[in-house]
Formats: sequence, structure tokens, C-alpha cells
Amino acid sequence: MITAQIFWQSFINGILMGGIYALVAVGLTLIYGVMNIMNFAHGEFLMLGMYISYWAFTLLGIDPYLSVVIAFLILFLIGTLIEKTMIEPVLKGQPLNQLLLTIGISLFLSNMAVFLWSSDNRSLQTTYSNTSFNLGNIVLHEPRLVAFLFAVVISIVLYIFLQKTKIGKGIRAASQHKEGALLVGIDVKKSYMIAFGIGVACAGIAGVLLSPFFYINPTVGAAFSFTAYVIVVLGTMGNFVGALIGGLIIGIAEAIGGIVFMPSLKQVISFGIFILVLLFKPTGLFGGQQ
Amino acid sequence: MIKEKKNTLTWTQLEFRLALIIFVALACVPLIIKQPYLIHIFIMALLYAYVAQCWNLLGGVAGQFSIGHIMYFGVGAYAAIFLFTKMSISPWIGMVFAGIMAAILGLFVSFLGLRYGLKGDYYALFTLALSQMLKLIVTNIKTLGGAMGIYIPLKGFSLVNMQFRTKIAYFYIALVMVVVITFIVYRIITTRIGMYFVALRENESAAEALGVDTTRYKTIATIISAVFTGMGGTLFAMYTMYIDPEITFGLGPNFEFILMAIIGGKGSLLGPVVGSLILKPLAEFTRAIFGGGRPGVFLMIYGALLATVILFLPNGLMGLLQRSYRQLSVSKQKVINQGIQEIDTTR
Repeated sequence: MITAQIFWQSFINGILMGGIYALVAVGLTLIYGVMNIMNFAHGEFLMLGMYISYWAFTLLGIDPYLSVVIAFLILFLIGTLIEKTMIEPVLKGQPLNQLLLTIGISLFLSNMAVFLWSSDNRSLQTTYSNTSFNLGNIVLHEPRLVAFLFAVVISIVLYIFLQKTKIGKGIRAASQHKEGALLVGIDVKKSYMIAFGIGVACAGIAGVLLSPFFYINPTVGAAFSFTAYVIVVLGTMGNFVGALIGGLIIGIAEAIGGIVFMPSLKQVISFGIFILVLLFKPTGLFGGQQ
Repeated sequence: MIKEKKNTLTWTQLEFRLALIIFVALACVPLIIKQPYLIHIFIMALLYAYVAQCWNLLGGVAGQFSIGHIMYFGVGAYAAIFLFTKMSISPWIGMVFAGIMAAILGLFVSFLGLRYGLKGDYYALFTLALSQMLKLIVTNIKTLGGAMGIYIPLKGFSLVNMQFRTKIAYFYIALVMVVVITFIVYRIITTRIGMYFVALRENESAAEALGVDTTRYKTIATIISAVFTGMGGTLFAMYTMYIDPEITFGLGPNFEFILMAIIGGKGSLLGPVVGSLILKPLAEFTRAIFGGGRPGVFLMIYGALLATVILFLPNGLMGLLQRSYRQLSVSKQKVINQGIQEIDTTR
């Protein structure tokens, strides 16, 4: 039986997870919006973020929440490097090739992780991994709450960055009209690099935030990739706010779906939503008519 | 004046001849190589070549981003194996049934995809999501073995049961299937329908403006490709004698199939075959060298190769050959034309 308590518990858990989904999706939608590329390797950057956090904690004793900064820097660097050396040359080519290139990167990264760190499930045991407190009769799992808050704050910071700073404005200009941006003297190539770097760094940060309470293995990224595609399409490809709202919707839908159906079927819910959105409103919730 | 002679062979004709040579050579392989392990590698390479060729028809020739193509494979494998294990129906009939099931799925995919005008990335995501959804559904169906999968029992060595004492039988079945699909692809690309497929790939709106019924030809391409992919699923299952959702619907094998076609050369006749014959043994050997402890190596190499090929050889290995053949024939033509001119002037 689904009692009100179980329902609200799942609802809250859904929102908390949705915040992280939103952060992953924000990175993906930023890349898509600016460069018109679907990054199939997005989840793999999340996985790298998890491993950065894992190794920083186990080898150096660095707290996962401090690893956020490390992961941001490392993944931003990797992201810009990949963009410069691999994505940029194929931007003008066939779209299928761009897609396949990111698939290649994703295969490489996830199997590099298998090669280097084996495919065993790992988990990070911090002192606060299992702490929780009660709010009414709902249990709030602390790492999830912290991750959610972090994700929200980072998304807001990123939003302000895109709206207010010169680089952010350049990125937005490049996404709206490439030639126009070039004409007014914006370094579009640099904007692409930064956008891609930030995009994958968002996924990496999400991975770090997940690491205190989520299993870590080389293929964990694929599931998150999928969720991120669903969110990005649902919230309109390239729409920042849409990704945030879409993240929360999918988070809640999965959590509620998990108690209504079997938990193992909860992904069917998001796939179902995905296919329905693709079929009936491929432009997403916030897209106008094509 | 001497009539200028047209170039002797077009690239596709040359490729077809090369294909015949490769197939004859392959047919001789079991006569020379006797080790079961090496035969196994060849069978796997042929199976992958077959599925890659099926993908090539839809993804390479017709240019549809069927990124979740493994769903047809999985449906085919499960359809036939279900009939074989539960009702003891011959896998050959099962294979036909697999083709029909895959066709229905293909019809469904193209109906939905086309009805709602999904193109490019959206179509790619759609097929990918469908394939993973099917995987989840199969994982949760008890009669199909769930996540544990199905072990295919030995029901006696016979042709009817598609179970053989030696691997060589599977080798020849796989080879025949590769030959058949390659011949079909050759027939398609050398006739009008193939032109339509290429037109779809190169510029869909232009094709439509010229009167190509794009919806119809996309559906045709999808269904042909799906039917044969599904049949491949049956043979794969009968050969490995075990299927589970990860093997038959997983993203790993999915991208592996596509990768063979891309690295070999998408849209070309021989690309998928050459790609698989090179890459599958490479994968098996790296697996043998690094052993079970390091399972990720070959997929890592695949990923790197895929990225490298996309960056430097967008048309794959066969594209490279085609380019050099063109250059060669252009320079040959120049020499011929010069000779003709000299003869003309001396007269």
C-alpha cells in the first residue's frame, strides 16, 4: 500500500535527486544550445567526477565537498582540451559524425575506467554518508540534501555567469547567432571551448556530489546520460531553465514511479516520458512551434 | 578520332569484385585453419560483419541515425529462442519469425518516427531510448528469463535444430548470411532504390522536392535493415547458446556493431565486412593478451579508433581506398587522353 507518508518521502527524495539530474542536464543543454551537439559522453564525465572524488578521498583524505573544486578544474580542462582537439574539427561536418565522435569518446572513457579501476562497484564511506534527520515524519538523507543544495547553488551561479559576465554573454551570443557574434568581435571558438568545458564540468560536479551516497562504477554514467537526454528534450534542447525544471520533473516522476511500479522499472517511466515528448512535443515544454 | 574509352570499372563494381574475392577466400578458411578458437574468432567476425552490414544499409546508405539498432537484433534473438526453448520450434522457422518481429518493430519505429517527423539527433535519441526501454522490459519479464537470461539447451545435433557438433557449420551459415546481405546491399545501391536512399542521406528536402517519397523509402530502408538484423540475432543466439538482456540489447554490443561499419567505411559495400574482419580479431587478441582481469581494453581501443577514424577518415577504410582508386584512375585517364591526343595530332 502506498501511504501518504511513503508518497511524500518519495516525493522529497525525487526532488533531491532531481536537483542533481538538473545539474547534469544543465551542462548537456548548455553544450547543445551553444554548439548544437548532443554530447553522448556526458555521463562519462559524471563518472570521472565520481572517481576523482573517490580517489581524492581514499588516497588524500580530501572531503568530497572540497573535491567539487578539484573536479571542476580537472574536468573543465579535459573538456576544453577535447573540444579544441576533437569536437571543433568535426563541427562543420556531417551531424552523424559528431554524434559518433562523442560515442567514441564515451566508449573510450568508460572502458578506460574499467581498465584502470576495474568494473567493481565502489562506495565512498564518509562520516556523514548515512546521516539523516527527520522533518515531521519524513526522513531527510543529509548527503542528498547537501548535494541538492550544492546543485541548485551551482546552477544559479552558472546562470548568473551566463547572464552577467562578458564571457557568459559571449557564449550566449555564439549560441544565438554564430555569424552575428563573429561580426561583433566575439571569439566564437573560445566561447565554444568554454561552454563545452563548463558543460562537462557540471556533469563532473554532479558526480562528485553523488559520490558520498551513490555506488561508483565505470558504467554508472550511462544511466545518468539517459536521464539527462530525457530532461534536456523535455525542457527544450538548449533551454537552461527548462533543464532545471525538467530535472525536478523527472526526479519526482522516477521516485513516484519507483513506488507505484517495481523500483527496477522506474527508468521505464522516464523512457516513456521521453518517447511521448519526442513524439508529441519534440520541441519540449518551453519550445515554440518549429 | 579514336573514341575516348570510359574508365574500366566504377568503384562499386570494383568493390563487388573485391567482395567476391574476400568471400571465396573466407570459404577456404576452414580448410586451412583447424583450431576451434580461431574458427570461433572468424564466426564472431562474420556475425558482426553481418549485423554491421544490416546497419550500413540504414545508417550508412540511407543515412538514418539508427543508433539503437541493437533492438532489432535483440527482438530477433528472443523471438526465435522463445519458440525454440518453449515450443521446440526449429530455429530456422524461428529465424523467419524473428525477421517478422523485427519488421514489426521497424514498422513501428519508422511509423512513429516519421509520423512525428523526427530527424537527426531526435531520431537517434528515439531509437536509443526505445532499445534501452526494450532492454528494461525484457529484464523484467520472467518467461524470458529476466536479467538471468536464457540458456539454450542442446536438443540434439541436427540441421533442423541449428545445433552442430563442429563450429564449421556455424561458420558457413554465417558466411552465407554475410554474402546474402552484401549481395542485397549491392543490388540496392546499384539500382534506383539505392539512389533514393543516397538522396535521403545527402539532402532530404532536395530529394523530396525532386519527387522522392522520403517517408516511403525511409520505411523501406528501416524494414529491410530490421528484418535482416533480427535474423542475425537468431543465429547469434543459437551459436553462443546463451542470451541475456545485456548481450542482446546492451549498449556495448550495439555500438560495437555500428563501429565496425563506421571504421570500415559507412555507405560502402565492403566497409562493414572489412571493418569486422579487422576489428573483431583485434578485440579477441587483445582480450587474450590482457586476459579477463582487464576487460575494458578492446572497447577502449575501439573508442579511440572510432574517434580517430571520424576525425581523419570520415568515410572509413574503404573511403580511403576509394579516394586513392579515384586518383589512380584519374591519372590513368589523363595518360590515356594524352596518348589519344598524340595519336590524333600525328595523323
